Amino acid sequence: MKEKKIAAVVGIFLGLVFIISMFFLIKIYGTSSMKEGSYAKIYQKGRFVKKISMEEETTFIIEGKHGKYNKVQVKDGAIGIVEASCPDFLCGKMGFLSKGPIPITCLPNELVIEIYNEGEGAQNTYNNSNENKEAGVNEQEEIDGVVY
Amino acid sequence: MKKQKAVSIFALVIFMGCMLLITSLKEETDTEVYEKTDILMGTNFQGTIYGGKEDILPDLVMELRNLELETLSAKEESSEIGKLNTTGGQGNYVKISEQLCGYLNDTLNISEQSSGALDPTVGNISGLWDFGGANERLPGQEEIERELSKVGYEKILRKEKAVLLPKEMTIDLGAVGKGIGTDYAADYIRENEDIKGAVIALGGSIAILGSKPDGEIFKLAIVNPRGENGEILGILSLKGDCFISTSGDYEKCFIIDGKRYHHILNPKTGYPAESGLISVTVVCNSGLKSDGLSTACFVLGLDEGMKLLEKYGAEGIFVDEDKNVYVTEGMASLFTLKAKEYKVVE
Repeated sequence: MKEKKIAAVVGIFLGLVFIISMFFLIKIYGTSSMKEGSYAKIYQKGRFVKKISMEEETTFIIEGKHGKYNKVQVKDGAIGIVEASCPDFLCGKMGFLSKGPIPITCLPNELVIEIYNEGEGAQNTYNNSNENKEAGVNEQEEIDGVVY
Repeated sequence: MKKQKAVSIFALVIFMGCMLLITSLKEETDTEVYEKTDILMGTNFQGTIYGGKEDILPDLVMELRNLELETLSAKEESSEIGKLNTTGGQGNYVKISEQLCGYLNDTLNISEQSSGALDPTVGNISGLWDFGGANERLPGQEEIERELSKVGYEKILRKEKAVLLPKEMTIDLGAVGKGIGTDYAADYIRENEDIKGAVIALGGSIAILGSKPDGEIFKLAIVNPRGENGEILGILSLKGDCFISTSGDYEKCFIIDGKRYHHILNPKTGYPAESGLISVTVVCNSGLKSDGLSTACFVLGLDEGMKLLEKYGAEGIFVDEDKNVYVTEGMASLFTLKAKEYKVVE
């Protein structure tokens, strides 16, 4: 009887350890492989302002000080600046981008829009459109930066 | 009894297995990753640091901003360069900091070695064109000739930590500014021994340091000079530490009557360089050098550019207007061409 009790306690203990192990395993593994879809992160003056899914259809204004603003639009899986207070409108001239790695930048308003494509969280990915269209695949390679 | 023992042993094995797995995974994911995006030196800053006790990126950004405002910026009247630029023609040597002296010497060294293909005194002409600015335009021939007379790095006189500028001459370190920024960032990061690796990008000038936590090599994309929406020319696989810069005719440019006017000026003519190249990427052991050499090589063209890189022990990737890609020997195995309309010429 005593042995049975000990076995039960050990069993419960190991069961608990197993459940806790699985919990951590999922936590560690799960988050890194979870697909988020394409999204964009908007920064103003070095501060993170907004994360937005590229699947949305939306238009919004990011306001700065002294009447500065950038009107951002997300449509058809791409993001771009359609109106801005900056004198050169270089940010708008960059057009609509659907993939990284070069961010949309508005220097006068200190605004940066980084685009992250489907896949693992932190790093930019790219897909070479021509190659992939021909091959019929949507393979992406992770990169650590881009020189331009 | 036997059954119980077997179950216990089985459970114990599973338990130990799980613990082993967790500890091994934990080691792998233990490295902290810090990231920051900002605007600096007239371009975007993107920093990623692997490891380290705390996030030093905000402090680094502050330091770089100070470097720009207090030392490098030709637009800031109160910066060292700004002050120096008001002294042209005064006839006396002006003292400069050891830091600026170092940057200036390294820049002028490239000017000398490239026979003036990189010239920090060309700033006034760049101002006429104002590429990427609100007053972007095609200046008249007379205007350019007038400013051209004030250009010439060899007219800058130096002794120890002092500089004498001739009348109306100004210095602009814009062509190497981002490279200097990545050098500064690299030194700053290296002071923290517990940082394992980092990628610091100032616009298209990048420093890669140490290694990634997973031990993988760094992959950098070179942008397709004739692509749209950030298409890629190819991938460079590199180990830290090294510095990478690209100069191309596609950034900050405008087209009039089908002719492309880009921001890399030939200091001899005052007009955009026409060397047959559309993009040059340089990899070497210093940000200032990679930045300055990519500009100089772009102006010099393929043959002279290759010779210049040899002098510095630097590597490079040259792309000409016929979409031929020329890769230096040391880069050949590290570069993978991705854009199909280009071809690598052996």
